[in-house]
Amino acid sequence: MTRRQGIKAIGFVLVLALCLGVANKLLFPFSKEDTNQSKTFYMEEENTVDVVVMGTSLMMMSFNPLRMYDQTGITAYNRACSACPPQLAYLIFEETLETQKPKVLAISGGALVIQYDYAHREGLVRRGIDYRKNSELKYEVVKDIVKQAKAQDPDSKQTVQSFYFPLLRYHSRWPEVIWYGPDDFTFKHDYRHGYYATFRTGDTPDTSEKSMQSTKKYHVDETTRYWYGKIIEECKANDIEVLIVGNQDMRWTPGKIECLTAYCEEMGIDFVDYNTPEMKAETGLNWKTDFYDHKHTNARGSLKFTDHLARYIKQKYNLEPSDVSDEYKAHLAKDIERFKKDCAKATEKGFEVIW
Amino acid sequence: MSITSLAFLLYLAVVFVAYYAVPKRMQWIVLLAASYSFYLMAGVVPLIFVLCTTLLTYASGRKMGALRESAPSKKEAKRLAKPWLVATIIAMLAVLFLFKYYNGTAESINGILRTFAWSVEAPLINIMLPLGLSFYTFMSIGYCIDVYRGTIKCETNLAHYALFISFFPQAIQGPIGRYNKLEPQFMAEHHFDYDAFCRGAQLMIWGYFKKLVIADRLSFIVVTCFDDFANANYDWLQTSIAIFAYAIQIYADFSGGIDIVRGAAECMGIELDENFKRPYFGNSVGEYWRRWHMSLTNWMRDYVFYSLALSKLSNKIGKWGRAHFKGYIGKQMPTFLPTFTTFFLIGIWHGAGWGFIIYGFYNAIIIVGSQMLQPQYDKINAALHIKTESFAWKVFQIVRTFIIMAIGKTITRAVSVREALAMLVCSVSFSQGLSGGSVVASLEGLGVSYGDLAMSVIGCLVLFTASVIQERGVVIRDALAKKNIVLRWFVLIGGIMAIAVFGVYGIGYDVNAFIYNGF
Repeated sequence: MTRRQGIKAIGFVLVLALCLGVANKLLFPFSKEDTNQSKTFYMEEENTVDVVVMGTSLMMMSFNPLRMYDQTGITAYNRACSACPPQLAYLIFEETLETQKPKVLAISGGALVIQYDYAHREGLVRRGIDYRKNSELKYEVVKDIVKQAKAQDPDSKQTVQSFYFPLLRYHSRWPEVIWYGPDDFTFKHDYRHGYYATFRTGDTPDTSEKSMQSTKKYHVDETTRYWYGKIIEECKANDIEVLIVGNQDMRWTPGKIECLTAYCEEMGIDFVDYNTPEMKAETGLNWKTDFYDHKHTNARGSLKFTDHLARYIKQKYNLEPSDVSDEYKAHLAKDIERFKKDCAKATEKGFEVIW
Repeated sequence: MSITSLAFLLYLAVVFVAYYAVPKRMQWIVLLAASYSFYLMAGVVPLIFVLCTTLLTYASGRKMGALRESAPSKKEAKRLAKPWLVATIIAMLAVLFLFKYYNGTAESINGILRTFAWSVEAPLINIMLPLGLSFYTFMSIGYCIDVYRGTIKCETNLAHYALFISFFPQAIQGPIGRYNKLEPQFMAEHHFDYDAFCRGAQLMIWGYFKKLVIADRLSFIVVTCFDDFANANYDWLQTSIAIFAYAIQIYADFSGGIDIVRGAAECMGIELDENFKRPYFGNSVGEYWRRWHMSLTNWMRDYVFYSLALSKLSNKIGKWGRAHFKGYIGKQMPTFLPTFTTFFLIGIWHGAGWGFIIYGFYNAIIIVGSQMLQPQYDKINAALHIKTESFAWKVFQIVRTFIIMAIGKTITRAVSVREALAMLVCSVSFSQGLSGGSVVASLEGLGVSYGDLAMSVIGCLVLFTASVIQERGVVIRDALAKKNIVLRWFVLIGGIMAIAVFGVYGIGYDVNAFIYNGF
C-alpha cells in the first residue's frame, strides 16, 4: 500500500464517518421533555441547586422547581424522567453530582416498587439515555439494562451496540424524516427546570379507595435495591438527605406503603406518603381537576403538590433560602415569568391555572 | 454468525489483519484457523460435521489416489476405486438425507399412512441442519469424483484439504467450489493489493445493498401475501406483486449473499466462482439455468447430467428413441432422462417438500418440451415473420422467461402446492377487480408502508439498471475505477449510506436469514 493510497483510504473513512454522523443526527429522535432536560441541566450554573427530585413521570409532572423557589427561595431541579429504570436513576444522580451539591434528594416511591419492564419499555428507556454523554458508568448502565431486558425476554433485540451506534436502532425512521423533516435537535435552555407541565384534565374515575383494599404484597427487587442502594450510600457520604415520596396515585396500595416504609427504615432514610387522607386534605389535590389521568398531576395539581412538598422539605431539613448569585436569581425570575405566561395562555384557552 | 451482522464484519477485519500480517507462506493457516473458528462459533456440532466430512472424503481420496498409482491401467484403477467412491457418496448423501430430508420424507409418509387410517407413524427427529452441510457435501463429493476420474490428483496434505472444505466465506451459502480452482489460490502467497482489496469491498457493498435494501424490504410484501394468502382476500394485483416480488427477492437475497462472500474472499486475493450472471435476462428457461446458481448447475452438469447422458442406460434409450421416433425428437431422447434427473435433484437440493420436487419437474418439462417443440416454434416464427434477432423479440423472451420462473418459484414459496395454484389463479383473475376498488387501495391492502413500497421500487430500479449495464459487457467496478475520485466516492459512500439508512436490519426489523441458508 503506497502512501497515496493510505491517504486516500483515511480520507474515504473520514468522509464516510461525516456522512454517517449527519445521518445519525437527522434520524436520532429528539424528545423535547426528556432529551432537552437531560442535556440542558448542564447549562445551569454550577452549585446552584439545593433540592433535586428524581424518579418517574409521576415526579416529572408533579414537582415544579420554579414554584419551590418562588415560595421558599430554595432552588431545585427536577431530574425525573419517563419510566426511569433504577440504572438510569443512578446515572442521572451521578451526572448531577458532577456540577451540583444538593442538600436534599427527593425520589418518587413508585420508582422503587415497580417491577421494571425492561424488555418492552425500550422506547422510554432510550429517551432517557440516548442523549446522555458517554462515560464508563453509562456503559455499565446500558449493559445492565440490555442484560435485564434479555433476562425478561430472550427475544429482546436490544443491544449494547445500538446505544453507541444509534443508526442501528433509528435508521428505520427515514420515512418520518423524509415526509415530515428532521426533528428539532437544538438544545434550548429548559426554563421549566426539568418539570413537564400538562394543561388538561382527564376526568379519570376515582378508584383509589378500591386500590387501598388491595392485599397485594410488594418488594423492592434486587436490581432496584442495587442501584438505589448506591444512590443512598453516596448521598450519605455527601451529606445529602434522602426523602422517598409517595406521590398521590389512584393505584396506591397498602402493600406499597408497607414495602416503602420497611425499605426506608432499613436504609435509614425518610418517607412521606401523599396518599393518606390527612395529606390528601392538606394538599387539596382533587382527582377531577388536578390530574390528567390516574396518577399524573396537571399544571394546576403540580402547583398544589409542589407547595406542600417544598414546605415539607424546608421544615424537615431546616433549609434556608439558597445562597445563589444575583445573576442566577435574575435568571430564575425570568424563567418564572416565562412559565407564568404558559399558565396565562392555558387559562385563556379554558384551562384555569393561577400561579 | 450472520454475514449481515456487525460481528461478521469485525470478524472479517480481524482475519484480514492476521492474513496480511503473517508470513505469506502461513496465510493458508490463518484461513484454516479462521474457518474452523467460524464453524465453532456456530456450535460444536457443525464443527464436528465438517471435520468428519473432511476426514472421510480425504481418506477416500487418498485411497483412490493410491489405487490409481498402483493399478496397471486407468481402467483397472477406476474399477478398483469405484467401490470407494460409491461408499463415500452413499455415506455423504446419507448424512445429508438425515439432516435435510428425513423429517420432510417422514411427514409425507405419515400423511399417506394417515390417509389410509394406519396407526403406524415414522418418528420425527429434532435436529438442525449443520452450517454449510449442503454446500460442503457437494464440494467433497465433487472432489472425490474428480479424483476417481483422474482429472485431479488427490490431496496429500490433510490441512490443505480441510481448508478447501471449510473455507469460511462460502460456508453459509456457497458457491460450491471446485478443488482444482481453489486449492492453488489458497496455497499461493497473497501480497496486500490496495486496488484488489477495494474491488472486493465494493462487491461486498453491492451484495449488502441487494440483500438488505432490496431483498429484505421485498420480504415485507412476500411474507404478508404468501404466508397469509389462505386467510386474507388478496386481489389479482396484490398477488401478482407478491409473486414477482418473491422472484426478485430470492435473486437479490442469494446473489447479494454470494457477492458479500465473493467480495470478502477477493479482499484476501481469492476468487470464488461466479454464481449468478443476471439470470432474469436469460431468454429461455435453459439459458436461465445457465445463469442461476451456476456453481450448483455446473456441478449437476458435470457430475450428474454428463454421467447419465454417457451411461449405458441413456445409450439404450437413445437407440430405442431413434427406432420409435423418427427425426428431431428421436435424436433428443437420450437427453430427456438426464434432464429430468438433474432437475429433480436441483429441486430437492433446495428442500424436501413436494413444492421443490414439482419445481424440479416443472423446469425439466419446460426445457424438454422446448427442445421437442423447437422445430414447430421455428415454423411458427417463420410463418408470422417474427424477427428473432430483433430487440423486441428478445425483450419478449426475457419477460416470458421471468414470468415462467416467477410461477415456478411461487410453487416453492407458497405454504402448500394447493395454495400456490390458488395464488397463480388469483393473479390472473382480473374480472374480480381490485380490493377497495382502486390501485391505491389495493397497494395499501398489502400492509406495507408507502415508504417501503417506494424504496422497494427504487431498489429494484437500481438493480435493473446495474444489470442492464452489466449485460452490455461493462464491468461496473472497472468502469468506476476509471472515473474521478469525486464520482467514485459519491457512488461508494452513497451505497454504504443507502445500506445504513434504508437497509432492513437491527431492532424494529426481524433480520431475515438468507433464504439459501435453509437450502
